Amino acid sequence: MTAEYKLQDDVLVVMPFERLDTISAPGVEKDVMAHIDTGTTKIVFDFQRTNYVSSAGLRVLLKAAKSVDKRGGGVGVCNANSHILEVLDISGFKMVVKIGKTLDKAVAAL
Amino acid sequence: MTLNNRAEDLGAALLKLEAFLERTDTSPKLGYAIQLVFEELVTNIIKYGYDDQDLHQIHADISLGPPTVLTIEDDGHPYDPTTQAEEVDTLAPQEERQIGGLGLHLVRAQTTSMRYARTARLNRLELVFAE
Repeated sequence: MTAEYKLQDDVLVVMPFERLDTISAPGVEKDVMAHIDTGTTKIVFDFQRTNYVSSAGLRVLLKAAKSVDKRGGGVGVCNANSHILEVLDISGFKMVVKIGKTLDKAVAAL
Repeated sequence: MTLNNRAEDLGAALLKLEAFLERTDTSPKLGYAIQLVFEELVTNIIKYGYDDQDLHQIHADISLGPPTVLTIEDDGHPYDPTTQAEEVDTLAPQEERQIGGLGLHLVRAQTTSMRYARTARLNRLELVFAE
């Protein structure tokens, strides 16, 4: 297990553990894509327990966004620390995911 | 630090690096940058550096500064990341974004200079971080 998942209304909330990196990202990607295959179109990555995201993690976000956007859904991010926000920013991911301070704000932005 | 070109070795090395940085007075921002640059480059070496299935050693050395310098040596294919074109268009809308190329983009953004040399059979990359 590299992340915890919960369903809040029709939104899948993904809570990766400490690191979303080249080691943990493939497992999270597999789980998220399985949820998308069964009809999930709204996903929020809640980084409250996550202190590190690398490009492997960004790829999971981008792949999920590409998959659900076609079906009118979206991907959000919340509770990201300043370093993760910087990585999202320099990667241009404000165009890819909706960034909210809190889970409620990220869900509302979808 | 020396690791083999195997994903499980990279996982262990990343945790070792994180623990090492926490024991020093490295700022969280610089610590994040060092881990990120190390992970992105070593991932590329493991993924694209070798044609064979043999074990290869990758050496990484970190010298805390300022300036902090990370040196990575591997015996994979000659590969000079300093001459690679920028593949990522950070202003592109999501539907036009490609999956991939992000690692090197992050490496460039987190370092102030990158120097490459091919010596004998080794790629040697020296990266300098902003403090």
